[in-house]
Amino acid sequence: MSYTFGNTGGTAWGLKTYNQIFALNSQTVGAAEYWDQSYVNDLDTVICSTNHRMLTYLNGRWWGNGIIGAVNKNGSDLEPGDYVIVSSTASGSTRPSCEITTSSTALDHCFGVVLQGGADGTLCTLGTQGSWPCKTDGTIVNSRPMRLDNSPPGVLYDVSTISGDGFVGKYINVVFPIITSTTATPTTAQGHLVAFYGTANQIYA
Amino acid sequence: MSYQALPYTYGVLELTEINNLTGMQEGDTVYNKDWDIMEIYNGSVWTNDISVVLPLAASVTMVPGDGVSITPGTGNIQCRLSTSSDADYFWGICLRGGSSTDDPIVVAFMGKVDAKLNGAVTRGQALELSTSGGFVAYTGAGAAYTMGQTLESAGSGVRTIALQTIEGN
Repeated sequence: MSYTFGNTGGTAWGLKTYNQIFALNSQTVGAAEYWDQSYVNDLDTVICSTNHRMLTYLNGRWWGNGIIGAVNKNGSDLEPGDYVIVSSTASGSTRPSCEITTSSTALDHCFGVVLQGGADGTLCTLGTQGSWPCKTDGTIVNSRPMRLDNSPPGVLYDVSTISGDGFVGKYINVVFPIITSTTATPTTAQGHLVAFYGTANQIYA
Repeated sequence: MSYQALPYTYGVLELTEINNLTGMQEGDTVYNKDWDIMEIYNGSVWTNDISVVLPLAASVTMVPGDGVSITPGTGNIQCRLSTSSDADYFWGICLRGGSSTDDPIVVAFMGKVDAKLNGAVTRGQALELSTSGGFVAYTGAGAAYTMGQTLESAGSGVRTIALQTIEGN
């Protein structure tokens, strides 16, 4: 339970960066954005200063508007910054399941970017709308919509045409390396801050 | 668990009252009862879960309701009023404007918002950025750069629309 109400914005923990909240190495002493979350309790709140969104903690996960829980059915670990689709493999629970796709015909099943990952079979949280860091590939050009890629899989890229499936949002030109290890000095992958619009592409008649 | 509702820094206020606040700190909160949404001060401007904050490209006046697009290119992202070639560069609708280069513009990309239409519309019609500054318009069935749809049938003016999709077709 929370005993602290005096932090910024009336939250339990005030402002914390995306990496403090979600990065793989945020619990590693010595990491640049280390935050010991062992004292965080259910229904505690924090403001993610990377995108200024309010998050609430429950059952080991941070939740907020547009954050969806899904079971990892990738067959391997999912980590923050991976972009996943809705998996056709049953989750074994009332939750949906998710996976990284290597199929070019599954791009229209785009779901969200992993915020908190884990091993196959564990509950992950996905950001499906709003601004979140996501792995990207290639050169990104202003204003173009970001599309899910299947090769390399699990990343977004800037496609030079605007035709096809798997368009999920637009990037905000903040280069945001995605931390891919738990070490204090971590490995990183190319990433950007992307504004997810919350829907797949559509044409209205 | 918490013993009380989240104590917003500034409680529950109307939009005008929020816009007139001074002395805010990054992370301060307020509940906007006109929009029924919590807002967080990012150090420069009040923002919320349906918006992103983008710098204004040039010294033009952008006001709430304007359609917002992005200056294309490889440099820093900046936003501008829609122009004749901007349909595929749309970002959304301005919620909080500005008038000087790099002013922080709060741009809604989803949700129910008021937008500036330059022609009559019927409920449910698809909308694109118009070919003139800051307007959105119904441009026909099968519009390629749909950014949302109308929620009311009305003539030109500031009308309520639903922002709900991106282009990609």
